Amino acid sequence: MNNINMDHGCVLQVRNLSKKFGRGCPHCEKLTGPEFGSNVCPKCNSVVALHHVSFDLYQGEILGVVGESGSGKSSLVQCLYFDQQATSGEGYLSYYNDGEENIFQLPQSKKRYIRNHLMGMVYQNPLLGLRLGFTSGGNIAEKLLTADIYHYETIRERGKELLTRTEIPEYYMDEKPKRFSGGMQQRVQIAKALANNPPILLLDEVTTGLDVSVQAKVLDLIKCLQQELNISMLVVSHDLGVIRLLTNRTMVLKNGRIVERGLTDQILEDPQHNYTQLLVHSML
Amino acid sequence: MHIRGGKTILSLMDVSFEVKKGEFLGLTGPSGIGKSSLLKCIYRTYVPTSGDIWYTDSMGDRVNLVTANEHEILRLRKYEIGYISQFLHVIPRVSAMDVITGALVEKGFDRKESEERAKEYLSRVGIPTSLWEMFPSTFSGGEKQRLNIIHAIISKPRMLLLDEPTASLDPNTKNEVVSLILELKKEGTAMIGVFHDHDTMIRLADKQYDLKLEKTKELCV
Amino acid sequence: MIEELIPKAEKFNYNFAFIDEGAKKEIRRKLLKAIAIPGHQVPFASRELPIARGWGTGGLQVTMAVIGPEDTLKIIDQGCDGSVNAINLRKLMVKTTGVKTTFDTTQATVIQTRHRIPEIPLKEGQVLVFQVPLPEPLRHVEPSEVETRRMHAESDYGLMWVTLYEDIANWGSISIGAGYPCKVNGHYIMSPSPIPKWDNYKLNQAECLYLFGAGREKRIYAIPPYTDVEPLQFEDKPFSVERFDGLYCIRCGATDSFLDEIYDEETGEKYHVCSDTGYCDWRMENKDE
Repeated sequence: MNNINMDHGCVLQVRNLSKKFGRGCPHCEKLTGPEFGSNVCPKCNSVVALHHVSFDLYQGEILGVVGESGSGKSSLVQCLYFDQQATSGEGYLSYYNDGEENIFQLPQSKKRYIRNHLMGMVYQNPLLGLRLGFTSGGNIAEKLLTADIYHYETIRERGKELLTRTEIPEYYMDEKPKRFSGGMQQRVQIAKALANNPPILLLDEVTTGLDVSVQAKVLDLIKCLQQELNISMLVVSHDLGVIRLLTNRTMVLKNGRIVERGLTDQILEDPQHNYTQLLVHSML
Repeated sequence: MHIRGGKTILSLMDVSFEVKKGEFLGLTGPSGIGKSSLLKCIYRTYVPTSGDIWYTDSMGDRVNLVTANEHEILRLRKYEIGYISQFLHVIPRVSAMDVITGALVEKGFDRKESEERAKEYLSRVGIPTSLWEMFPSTFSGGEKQRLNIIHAIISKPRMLLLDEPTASLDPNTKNEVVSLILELKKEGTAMIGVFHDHDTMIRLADKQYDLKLEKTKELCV
Repeated sequence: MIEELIPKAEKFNYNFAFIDEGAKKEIRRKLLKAIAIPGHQVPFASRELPIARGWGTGGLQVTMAVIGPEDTLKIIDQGCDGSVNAINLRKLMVKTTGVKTTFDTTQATVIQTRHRIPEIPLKEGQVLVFQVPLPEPLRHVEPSEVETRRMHAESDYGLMWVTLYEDIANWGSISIGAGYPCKVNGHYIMSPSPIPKWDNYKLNQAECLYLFGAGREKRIYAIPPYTDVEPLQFEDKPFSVERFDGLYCIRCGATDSFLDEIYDEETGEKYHVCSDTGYCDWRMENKDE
């Protein structure tokens, strides 16, 4: 196994992550990308969602991933959360076996272990992250139970604590989120993702679709969580405002490739790549 | 020098100067010459085309701010280098109190202690108690500006970059802000600042660098 | 129906134990796999039988596949040797195999059961065959078969646990009565066919072999002897069985067996009897001595 030396403080190292939808052909990578303005291979119609994406995520930092729809942002987090099977690439998690095993090549059961114990995921659509048929307490319980916590009172206590954290009144604990507003569902989803104290949290367009005042609350929550719990986060968004407020560093994704990366304020104020300049200048 | 939209804008050429511990350097020159750009280059918001910026950190190590990796820069920004911009970027719907407290908590201070200090600073720059729990977006320009200043100086950085910090303040508040900055300077913070009014600069700066003449001039305090 | 079929069976020379040897071979092969992976559901080609699906076809096929001429058979339905279902299945087995039958649990080598485990502990060499209506314990939390198989393979049982959590949160205790899910050999969650919770402990570290057949759902699974079988339970909410405090069997006086509630047809009076008739009879006989 190829063991990459991880820097001190680096919790997740991803190298050459690629994801292709479709059968693929030898020309896929050469005929797609930002220079072609497309990620669909003209020869075989496969979609190159991600090509050779590499990055490091450090302890306690919020790393932003920005790009337009179809740039591969969601594929990236979904590959990391194993919702999608990465086509190729390597990933090392400092919390898993001291970062010695490529997480993309682990058997399903071990991937599930990582998912259940070491990661939290917040989807854009709360329907994906929550089970609306269960109560909000039950949703949080699910995450704890998959992380092998089988003590009922402990689960209840942790549920209350998390709902308080995410500013959901305690009496909603035994209510089904089906009846909640979008912003509240999103907060329950965040509570669920945080339930087992994951060192890594993946957030996919979490504020998209929420109205501005709710959006502000969710952003504030995320920022506070990062400050207090020192969680490493990957924040995916097409909204540069969100990226500016939350992240320290940002990667710009275009047609499945990283075209630019750097400190967030540098990306926003002194973008180097043509595409980033376009993106920044179309910001409201 | 940096590039925007294919057009090359020459903004700074061959700038050289030095700032020592507890020293204040004022940048002068006609507008558009690149005073703010220079500050942003030091803060790495802009990527300098060439040259070196050497910074000696608290451990005594010399770091080149032009080539240091992002995490090194983030570490320095978190613990050592402060920057007062002309605008405050905060998450909407977070109270002024929480914004200031957050600046300390982020750097590892205890929440309670941070709140105490936040209160002290907020009252010193004359932000009325009634506004502490309000959202900064509802503040007047001057109040936002003061919030911005204390947000940057409350954690006592080793080096502070100031981009027209006193631009929209009335004389009284300006005095208070100046004394806060002087206090920090006395504690050993090195500072580089851009001012639109000459008076404030004279009161704060030990020496000035004229970007047009590319010369450093000592000022008598 | 059966009465009509059996003479024909003899006339047309039906195979020993009704189903053909090829089918038995297939079922035995699946049984071996099931025993090798305790609690894992193995698909099998469920045959047509002269009884309807849902009337014990799964258990019956397993019994037919394992039984030999030397065996002694006992068939019970809800613990009772004499109910219609038990009698009809017994008749079919006797007519097609000619094996000895018994009501005495200790004498039987193969016992086919619907929804009960006999009270007298089973010994090595005995086989208990369950008739299973719904073999998939995860079915009510996950409708997709593809998904439940994946969940079993990866031990992804969070959802199952959440239903238990929700039960406690909503009702104060887990409301599952019969068919309480248990974990077999530390991996698979298994539905022990709808036996009462009372019987769950009998599955753990048992001396006998338990075989489960679901005819309509076409699944076979097994618990080999001396296997750990734990009911799912929260650390601070231990699993508990039905209690019959102060109640006893009106016939044999037993206080240590699972009791059925019976109403007197004339007076409407409520009283209790042993659900396991074989156990009740055994106690009556011993009382006389």
